[in-house]
Amino acid sequence: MVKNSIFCFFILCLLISCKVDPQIPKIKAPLPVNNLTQTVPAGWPQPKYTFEKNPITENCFILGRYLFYETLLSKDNTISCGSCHLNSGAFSNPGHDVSHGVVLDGIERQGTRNSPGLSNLAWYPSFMHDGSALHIESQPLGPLTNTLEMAEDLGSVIVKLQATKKYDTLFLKAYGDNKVTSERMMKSIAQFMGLLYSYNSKFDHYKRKEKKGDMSEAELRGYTLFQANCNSCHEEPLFTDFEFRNNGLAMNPKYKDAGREHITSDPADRYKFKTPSLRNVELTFPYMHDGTLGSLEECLDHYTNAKKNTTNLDPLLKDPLPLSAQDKKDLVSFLKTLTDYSLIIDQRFADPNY
Amino acid sequence: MKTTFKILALVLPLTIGIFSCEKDKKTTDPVVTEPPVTNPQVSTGSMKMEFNNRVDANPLVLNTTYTNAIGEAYTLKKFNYYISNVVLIKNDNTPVSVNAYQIIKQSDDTSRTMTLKGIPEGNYKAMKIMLGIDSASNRSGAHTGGLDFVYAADMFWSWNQGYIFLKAEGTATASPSGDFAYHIGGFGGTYKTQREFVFNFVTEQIIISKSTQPKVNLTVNVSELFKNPTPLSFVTNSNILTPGTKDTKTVADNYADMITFGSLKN
Repeated sequence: MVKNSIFCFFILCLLISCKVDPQIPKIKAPLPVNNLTQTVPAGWPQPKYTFEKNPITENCFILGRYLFYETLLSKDNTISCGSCHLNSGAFSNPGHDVSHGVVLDGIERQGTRNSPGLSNLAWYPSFMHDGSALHIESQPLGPLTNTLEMAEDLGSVIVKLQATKKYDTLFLKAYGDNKVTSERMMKSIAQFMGLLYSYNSKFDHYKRKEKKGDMSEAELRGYTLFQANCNSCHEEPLFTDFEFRNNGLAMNPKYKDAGREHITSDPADRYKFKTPSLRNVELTFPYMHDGTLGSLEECLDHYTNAKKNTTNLDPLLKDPLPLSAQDKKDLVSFLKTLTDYSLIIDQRFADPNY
Repeated sequence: MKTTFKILALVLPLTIGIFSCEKDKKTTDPVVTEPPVTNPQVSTGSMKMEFNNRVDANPLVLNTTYTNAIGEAYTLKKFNYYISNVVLIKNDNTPVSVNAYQIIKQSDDTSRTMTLKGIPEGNYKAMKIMLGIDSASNRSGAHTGGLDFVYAADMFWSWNQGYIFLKAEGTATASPSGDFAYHIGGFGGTYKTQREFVFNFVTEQIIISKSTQPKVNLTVNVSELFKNPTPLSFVTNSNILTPGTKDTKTVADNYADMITFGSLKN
């Protein structure tokens, strides 16, 4: 009898203690989310996005993480941001030349551009290959509304999310009430995206003279070649200058993509695309805005091939780069030192649904 | 021993209970919204602004045939524009900015009245409004209220990000397709399309006080879209849809005198 009453009391205490949020369903998977602060590595410029108006909290980040991997963000509820930005591929889509979109009316939509790797986005002055988005909080509207990609509209996403218990809980925890708003959505996704850092590659360790930074002779030769031939566009430490350039790649007749001209309506910007960052480039194949080059070797061959004759060819590339076969091998060795395994294995950025 | 166990049995669940609540308690973080800049010392009032869309002498009616400056017939199915950056000028020339962004839609009566709140009490001799959205707000991320991406769903380009400042869509017999659509926007550089309108009340003043709600009636003449300084023909200009182009600037220069002061009632 005594034992029974003690047991009942025990249960009662637990029940009372949980009464605060009686309707909260359990969300799958424990979420290791520590170290949620913005870091500016030594020698790096100041980031453009500082979270000043979007203070980082564990629960906002968690909400952003769920939203990043949320298929309800697409028209047919099959595609999430993470569908084309895979954790394992440094948030690119390895092996896919262009993005596969939703299936509508029995037809699988296909985008026109390659899904780039995502890291260090807080430093980006613009987003997308043509710079169509100017803010990390508005960028997701691009793929979300693109009829060839997620083909959805934000208002309908909000209705879908609001109808789920899962997001009731997640919004409540993040913002104090369960209301789904576009601002909350975009800001929490921005916390997730803005904290995808990559500054712990072998190359970074080498630059910081750290233990794991022993570069081989080939890698060091590659670095010297990189500084002489590539660094003027793929500027350290972000390995991009964020400029729009035509690198001599022939216009792909399949997409007839005018690139930056879409945004500026300036013929001088025709066929120009943003210099992509080379961080984690080993994992972000295939390459170029349309994913036409499959390997790093093919990319280097592109730059050493005969004179190019494309519209608005970048003056820096008017002559083929003078690289020998050995040089290319060394450069590839160097480029692979930019792979940051800490980003790929970081559980904070993994799909929380699995 | 047994007593100790009993005490433990009583205390332990309580402790567990307390700890199990811990996580949920600290999870509620303050909602981040920009507070209105108001000084508690200054008492404030509100006013209204009403936009009366017209085609010259007549009130605008959707799906009604009108004629542009060069004699081409057209109808409007949609007529929307963004109003922002309202500034009231006090008698001593002090400008007072009002935080308000609103899409005025011909299809929605209530949208055509804008309520401006939190205005310091006093007398104002002039006001300034913007058709469009300032450059900074076009590139400052996610918002609530008048700049919310859902509210602005029909007035935001996600493929070339920025707000659409004015949308006029309808039919035009002279157009090759029979339809026309002007989506005007673009917030920076040579072809920016925001336009400011200044209203000096000359003999009148807006008197803001706690107890009253003055109303300013503004007249918006749709005809101006298609003329002055540049007469537009639907034959050659049936679709103007891209920001940063000469054509959008032409329309913006045309609408630069579209809104005029009608009347003021304190």
